[in-house]
Amino acid sequence: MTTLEDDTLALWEEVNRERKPSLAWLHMSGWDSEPIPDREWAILDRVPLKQAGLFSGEGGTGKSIIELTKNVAHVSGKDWLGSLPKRGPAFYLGAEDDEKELHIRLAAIASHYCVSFNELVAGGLHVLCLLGQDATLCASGGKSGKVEVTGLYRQLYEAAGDIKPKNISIDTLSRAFAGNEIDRVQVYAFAMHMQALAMVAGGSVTVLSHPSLQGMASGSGISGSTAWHGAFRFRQYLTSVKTDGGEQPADDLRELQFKKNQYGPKAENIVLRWQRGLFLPVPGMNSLEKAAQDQTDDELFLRLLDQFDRQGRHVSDKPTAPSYAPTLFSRDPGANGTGKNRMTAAMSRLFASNRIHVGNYGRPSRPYSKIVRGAHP
Amino acid sequence: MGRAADMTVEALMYSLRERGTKALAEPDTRRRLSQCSDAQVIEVGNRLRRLKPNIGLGPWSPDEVRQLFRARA
Repeated sequence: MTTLEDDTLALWEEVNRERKPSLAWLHMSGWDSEPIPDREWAILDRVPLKQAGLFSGEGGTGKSIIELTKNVAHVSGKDWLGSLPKRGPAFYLGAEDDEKELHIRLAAIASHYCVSFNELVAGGLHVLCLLGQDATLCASGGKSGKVEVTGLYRQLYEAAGDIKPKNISIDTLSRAFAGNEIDRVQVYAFAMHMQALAMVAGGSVTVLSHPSLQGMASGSGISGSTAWHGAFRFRQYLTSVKTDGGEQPADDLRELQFKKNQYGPKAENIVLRWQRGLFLPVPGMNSLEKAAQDQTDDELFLRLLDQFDRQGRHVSDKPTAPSYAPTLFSRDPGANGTGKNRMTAAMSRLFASNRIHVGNYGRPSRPYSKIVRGAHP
Repeated sequence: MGRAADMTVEALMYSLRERGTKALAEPDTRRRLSQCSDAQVIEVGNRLRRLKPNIGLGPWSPDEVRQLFRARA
């Protein structure tokens, strides 16, 4: 039976629960003697731990594949675009591709890293396919427009607290955030919820997004509000080669730009090339323009090689030969001013990638050599 | 939070007993209340609820005690 004293005590506790907690000022008196903590990184100088960031890029450029690759690198402790991510579990929430497509992509990535799916599962790779389902994590509601979390967010929050993933990928923002992208207050509120997710996981949260037309034109890579840049602690932007004067873009080339790193120097841009189902860095290349130019030069060299072949004019790879290909090609009107040095570099790349080889022609007893398209038989 | 002197608690009881929740707005009452420990405030609440009808304004309701506790918070 409840006594009057019990009842009063219950009232006291009820009022105490209503009380706001006092301001939690930092206790800095011991900082003179305590060691200064190191900054923690999910990926050194690119992705800080316990922080949320934005990874934007035009649709179809390959953000999801690059993000999946990062998660596999986290799980398997392998290199990701020239750096070593902190090893641990990873979550990928994909709302844009079906299970089959995710399987295909992951198979290419697993093959590149020489890991099995069993090893990835054991390492803690968790993939959630939400295509055709409600993938909303945060939504603004009511007249106040306050951003509130959904049941899916709460489930994810609990799982992150239990499994402690080193990275959580949210693919994409437009499916996860049912709010106003140009409302600064809502943008910051969404970022705060992503930040909370990163903190409970002790890892990073990467939100994949699409830039607006203005964001693409300006090169900023964001959409709606500049708050997207301010609210997140790290930001990356994936871009492809711009078309120039109707010229075909180099479809297999991308540039990953590190637009923001709140806690350290911005990492250098990385040029990536589509190879065997995933994007891999182009060695020694940190400018997309240079990579695109190399690719154009390679194509020009092959085109001129075909043209010369049709004309019955054999070209040589030997610099002392009068038919040295780079010399003759650079003099051809079709070269459009591309010089001998660039032609020479293109020839080297084409030999290295087995797209051309040296073949023989003429009498077997006294053969001559020439450059031929394709790998050596 | 320290413990208030018994005299302070009795002065607090008097003001609350005689003037009810209106006394909670008075600076003296609030000062006395702030000097009390948690246990003393809870005991004041108990005593106010147990008041006989002919003493002061009579026994306090749970809602009035809630106001007292909020004033302390």
